[in-house]
Amino acid sequence: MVNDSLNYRPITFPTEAIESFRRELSVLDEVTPFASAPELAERIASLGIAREVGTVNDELARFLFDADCGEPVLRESLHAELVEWNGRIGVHIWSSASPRLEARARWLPELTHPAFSTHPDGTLRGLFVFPALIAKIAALEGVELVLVKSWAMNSIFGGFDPAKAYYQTNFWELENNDSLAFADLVRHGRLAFLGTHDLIAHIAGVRRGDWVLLREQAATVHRAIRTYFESASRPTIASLILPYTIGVVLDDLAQPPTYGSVSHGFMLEALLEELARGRIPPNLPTVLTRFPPAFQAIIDASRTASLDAETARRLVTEMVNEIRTAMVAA
Amino acid sequence: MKLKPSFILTNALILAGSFFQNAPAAVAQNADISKAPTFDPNRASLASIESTWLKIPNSCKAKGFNAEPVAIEHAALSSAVAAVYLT
Repeated sequence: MVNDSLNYRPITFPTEAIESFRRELSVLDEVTPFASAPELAERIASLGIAREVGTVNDELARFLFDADCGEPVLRESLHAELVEWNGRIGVHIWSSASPRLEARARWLPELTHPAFSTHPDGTLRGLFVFPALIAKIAALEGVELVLVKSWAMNSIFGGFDPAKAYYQTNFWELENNDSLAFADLVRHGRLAFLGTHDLIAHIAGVRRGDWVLLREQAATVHRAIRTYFESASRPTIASLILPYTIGVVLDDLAQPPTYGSVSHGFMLEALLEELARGRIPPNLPTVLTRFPPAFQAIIDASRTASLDAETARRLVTEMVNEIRTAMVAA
Repeated sequence: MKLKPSFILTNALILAGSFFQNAPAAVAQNADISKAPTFDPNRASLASIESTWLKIPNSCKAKGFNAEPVAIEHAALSSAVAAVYLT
C-alpha cells in the first residue's frame, strides 16, 4: 500500500503562473519573511534555485561528488525539477551521470528531505530542497528567512541570464549600495533565500550562537554606511566601492565556515575606519576610470588567516589611493 | 533599505543592455535645453570601469561561497530538524 505522504510529484509552473508570482511579489514590502507569505516564498525560492542548477551560477554543484568514483559530478549533468509533496513546493536536484551522490558540504545534508534523498547505504540519490521547511530549520537557530523584492525582481523575474557569470548582478549590487540592504537584513537576524548561494553559503550551518557577534558587526556596518551617505541622494560610483568591499567582507562573515573570522574582522575594521575618514566624498561629481586592483588583494587577504591589522590598513589605504587616482572631474 | 521601483527598473534596464559610453552634454547656445542629452557620471563610470572590473575574479565579488568541499561522515539529523521533516 502506497503511503501518499511519502510520495512527491514533479510539477511545472506555466509562464502565466510565474507572472502571477511576480505580480504578487511586486505589491509586497521590500523585505517579506517566509512566515508572512509561505506559499509565495517557497515558490519563488524554488524557482530561484532551479534556474541556477547546472549553470555557472550553481553554488551547490562543486560540493556534489560521485559516491562511486569520488570525483566531482559534472555541473552539466545536474538537473532540477520542481516538485510538490504534502502541499509543499520544492526542488529535486539530481545528476544524470551519477546515481549515487555524496554531498561534501558539512551542513548540507540537514537541508535535504531525508525520506527522498538517501539510498539505504546513506549516499544520496539527489537533493530534495523544500524552502518552507528550510525556513523552519533556520528559525530553530533564531534566523528568519526572507524574500527581498528588488533582488528577486532582478534575478528570478527576468533580470539577468542565469547562464552568464554574475558580473552583471554584481554591478547592480555596486551601484545600488546593496551592502546596506544586506547589513540591514543581518543586523535584524535575517537572511534572503532566493538561490543556491543563500542555501549553501549562508543557510546551511546557520547557528544561533554565532549570530550574536555577526548581528553586532552588521549593525556597525549599517550605521557606518548610512552615516557616510546621509547627505548623498545619488552617491558616485567611486564612493560606492568602499561600501561594496565592506559588503563582500560582511557576506563572508555571514557564512558559517568564517563566522567570527579574525582576519575578516581586521579587514572590516580597516575598511570602516577608512570610510569614516571620508577621503572619497559621495557627492563629488566625478567619473571613475578604473576599478581598483587592490580590491582583489583586500578580499584575498581577508580570507587569509595570517592577516594582521596593520597589513589590512595598508591594503585599504592602497585601494583608496587607487580610487582617488582614477577619479576625474565630471 | 527600500529601493524605489522606478529607480530599480531604470537601472536594471540600463544594465540589461551593453554598457554605453556617455559624452559630456553638448553645449549648443541655440538648442532647446529640454532636449539636450544629460550626462550621467555614474553611467560613464560603469562604462569606464567595466574592463578592469571583469579582471577581478568572481570569487572576490559578492555572492561567492568561500569554503572548499570536505568529506563528511554521515550523521543523524538532530531531533529538532528531524521533527521539521515530519510536519
